[in-house]
Amino acid sequence: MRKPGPDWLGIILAGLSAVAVLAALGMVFLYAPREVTMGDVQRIFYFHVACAWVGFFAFFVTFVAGIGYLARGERRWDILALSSVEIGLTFITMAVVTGSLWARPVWGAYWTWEPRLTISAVQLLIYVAYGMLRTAIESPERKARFAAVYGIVAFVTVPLSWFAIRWWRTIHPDILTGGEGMAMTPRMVQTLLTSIAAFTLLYVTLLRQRVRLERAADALARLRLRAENEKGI
Amino acid sequence: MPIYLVAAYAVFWAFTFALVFSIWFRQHKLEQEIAALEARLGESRQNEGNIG
Amino acid sequence: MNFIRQVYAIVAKDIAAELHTREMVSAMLVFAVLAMFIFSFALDLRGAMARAAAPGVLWATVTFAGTLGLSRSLAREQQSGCIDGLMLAPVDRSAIYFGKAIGNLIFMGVVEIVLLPLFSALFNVSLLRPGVLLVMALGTVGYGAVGTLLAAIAVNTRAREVMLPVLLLPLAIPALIAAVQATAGLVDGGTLADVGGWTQLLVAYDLVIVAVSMLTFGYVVEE
Repeated sequence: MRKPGPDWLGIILAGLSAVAVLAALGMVFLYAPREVTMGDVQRIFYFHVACAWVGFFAFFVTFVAGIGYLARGERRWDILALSSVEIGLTFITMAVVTGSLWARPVWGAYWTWEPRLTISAVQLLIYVAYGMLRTAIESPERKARFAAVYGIVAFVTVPLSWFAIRWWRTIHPDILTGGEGMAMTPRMVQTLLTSIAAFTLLYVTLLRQRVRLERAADALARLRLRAENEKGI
Repeated sequence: MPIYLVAAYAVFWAFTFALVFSIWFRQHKLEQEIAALEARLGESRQNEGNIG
Repeated sequence: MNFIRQVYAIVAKDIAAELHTREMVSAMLVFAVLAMFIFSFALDLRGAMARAAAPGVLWATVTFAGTLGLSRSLAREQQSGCIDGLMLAPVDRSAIYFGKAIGNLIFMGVVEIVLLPLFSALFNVSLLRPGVLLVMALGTVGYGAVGTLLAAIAVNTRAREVMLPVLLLPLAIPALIAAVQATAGLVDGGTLADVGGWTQLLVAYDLVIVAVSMLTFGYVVEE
């Protein structure tokens, strides 16, 4: 039984991700200027937004994977969906937690109904619901099918939620936060974009790992089944 | 002020590492199971060889 | 024509079943009224606060009572084995969806018709105006549409009906926000034009959600 060689693509991706994240980190602390009104705490913003973006993007991938599964019925689409949910859930949780940690010193409260933070929280709730749904179904085929349907319907409501929440905040601005008060200089924009790019790369790396893990688990299950059959005979 | 900055970045690292570690750990367990399975298959093949 | 007949048949069946026992609508109604009281006591809603909170409490109540009806309606379907029978017959999947959804909407509508005057009296707001009725209809359509789909999913899980609120509520958020804001705007003396933005959002939500639910319902009920 020959063992497969080292996972070169995985190693390269991991390396690139590490470099990208470190570069973004460097930019956040050394390149981006100190924000006028908020001070250094504002530096949370870059990775916070990057996490929120990845959380949303991962949800989009799950949405596409859901369509793929319903269209084709192949297990690999389901693997993609569940893997993206796991990674996405982590990132969206980070987005919500860091958003809260940013809100406290800047606006004096651990929670503000700021649109981006709120929509991230909503997505977090949907992610959790998705996970609970998968757990509550035994049959793998049904699990995949129902999860696909839910992923599709749920994702479709997210842009609608985004508009509703933004509008709601515009009409009823938080007494605490007022409007979005942060002046973005070009350096800040560059740092933000780098952070988003780095985290997206990280997401892809982690997604691939998670997909490979699930495929390996599938293969193992098949192997075990075969072994039992052979021994039975 | 800085405590929140530190805490937030600690969150990034902690969660990311937790995820990476979780995936790695499950991969490790899978590999162990594969090894165990291979061993068992190897034994039964040997036994068949002896009988047949 | 065949399609409409199929939808009609399913709706008629559901209404007949409900008229026979009346258990679902009455349970929804009683629950809604109780929720109304709970909100009033918990938030200490009197006078000006009651008027301000009325739209929100109304929609929260409708939301929660709705989950009862949606779960019950789909659970009934499963118990009677009716869906399996429908699946064997050459009935269009989307006909089943529309049949169930319209039935659910009718039940929710009945509950709302009773609730509106009750709310108007208790919270001292005038909810019985055409603009509010339109918003109620739009909001209920969206909620019922996605609720029917998700109830069909939930009923097939280990947790059964309990799963529905978890699945449904996050997806109902855009409709909820829009409906409450529109209702509040109207109650405050605005015209439909004033709350046009929110109404449009509700319409958009309804269109999108009905389309997606209709397209995916078949995948939920297939075996």
